[in-house]
Amino acid sequence: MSFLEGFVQGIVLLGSVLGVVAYLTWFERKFSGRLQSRIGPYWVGRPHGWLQPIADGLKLLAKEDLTPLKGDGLLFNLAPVWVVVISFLGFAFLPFTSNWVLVNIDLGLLYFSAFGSLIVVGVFVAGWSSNNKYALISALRTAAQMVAYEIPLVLSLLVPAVLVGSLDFKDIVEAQREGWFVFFPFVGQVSILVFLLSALAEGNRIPFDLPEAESELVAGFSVEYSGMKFAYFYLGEYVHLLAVSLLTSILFLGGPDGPLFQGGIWVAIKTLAVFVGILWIRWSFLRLRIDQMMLLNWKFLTPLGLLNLLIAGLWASLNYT
Amino acid sequence: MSWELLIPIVLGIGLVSFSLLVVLSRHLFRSAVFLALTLVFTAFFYIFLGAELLAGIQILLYAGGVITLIIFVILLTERVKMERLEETHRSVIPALLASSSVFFALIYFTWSSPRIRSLAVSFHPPGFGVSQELAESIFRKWLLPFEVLSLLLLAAIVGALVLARRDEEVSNS
Repeated sequence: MSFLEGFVQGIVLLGSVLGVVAYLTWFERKFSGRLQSRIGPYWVGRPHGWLQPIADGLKLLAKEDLTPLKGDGLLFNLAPVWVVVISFLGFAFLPFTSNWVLVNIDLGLLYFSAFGSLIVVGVFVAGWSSNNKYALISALRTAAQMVAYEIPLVLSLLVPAVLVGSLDFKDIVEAQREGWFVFFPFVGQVSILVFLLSALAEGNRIPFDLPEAESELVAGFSVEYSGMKFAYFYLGEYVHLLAVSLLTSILFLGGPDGPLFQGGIWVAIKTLAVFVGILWIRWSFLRLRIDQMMLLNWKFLTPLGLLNLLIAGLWASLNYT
Repeated sequence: MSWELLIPIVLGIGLVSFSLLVVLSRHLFRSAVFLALTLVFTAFFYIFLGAELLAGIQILLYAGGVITLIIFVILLTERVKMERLEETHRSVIPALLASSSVFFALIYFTWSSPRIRSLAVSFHPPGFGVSQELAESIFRKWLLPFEVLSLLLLAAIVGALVLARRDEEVSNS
């Protein structure tokens, strides 16, 4: 792949992820509306308000751009860019079909988790440079939560890698032609559970949305942000959700493998299914207390993830020669 | 100019300017953020030179882990002391002399040593940076040193815990 070709493919990937994310926000509003017996967005772009994401984007672009006077202006402006860029970088390593991936290296899984671990720095910078007590408390909570849940997240990501014996997403997809990892007895179910729970905590989604808790912290680390800079954090959150859904479908649900036909369409269907599951969780559970959040991680998810990885390793060492 | 020549120049300019910003920033927090950017740029250099595994680990451990730790420490100490930690740039000239002498010594040894020059010629040795090769050498060939090293780290963690605990007892009594 030449330099120019890779560049063009990257732009296309970036654009399509942006488009999908814009309509995921619309889908979330419609789905949430249905779950709560409302209709959701309706007026902008009849029928079903399909122009709503575009209207939202225009509104955010037109809003006043504020920077706190006593904050750190440079870092305040850097933080949203950091979060967005890092969130998008992960997609470069995810295979969308069985043979197309933007950056073709044998370390996709390592790179994906490496870039994921950088997001917390951006959130920290945002909270600190705002010069706002709510934002700072939120940033400290986020750091405690994201750093803690990174451990079970990586432990559960490692299970498919250990079962296959490779860090390459394409090998993991290829190995699941004989059986998706979610059907692998015990190990598969435990690791998908640990993965989804810790990924929700990483993305500050609802059972774990302590960093953003509206009733306690106004809106968390992004409280001083307005207009497009606020939209960047919002975008980063949805890109993270999309990445989690996509990763689940690739690592545990067989990726492009499926009945009748094979290919990218199955990846899309599975990703959407996981996304719907995440939305369902959002409207079904209450926010955890901070001690419950820590307890769940250190006393349940991390030991379970370690045990699971141990069993997967035993199975792998018995099956490889 | 081909892109193979352009990329190291761009990366080098970025790396040098971010490193300068780390030293010249007035506030510790800014220095930490620029240090994160410097480490990410170093990782890009590793990718460019074909050491992809090293680059991934650099981002995961240093830019992700160590920087988070540093920022955490800065925030916590700043809250405790309730004063902004400002860098005042004392003794600029000795620091400049020391760092530039290290810089020129490094350049001199890199240019004069035939072993380092021979390393620079072989761009991609076979099996270099492949995760399987690395796993083979860590977990088969060098298993004992690896385990001893992990024991050392464990001892460091336990030692840090003991020190922290003793401090607490003193302040309570």
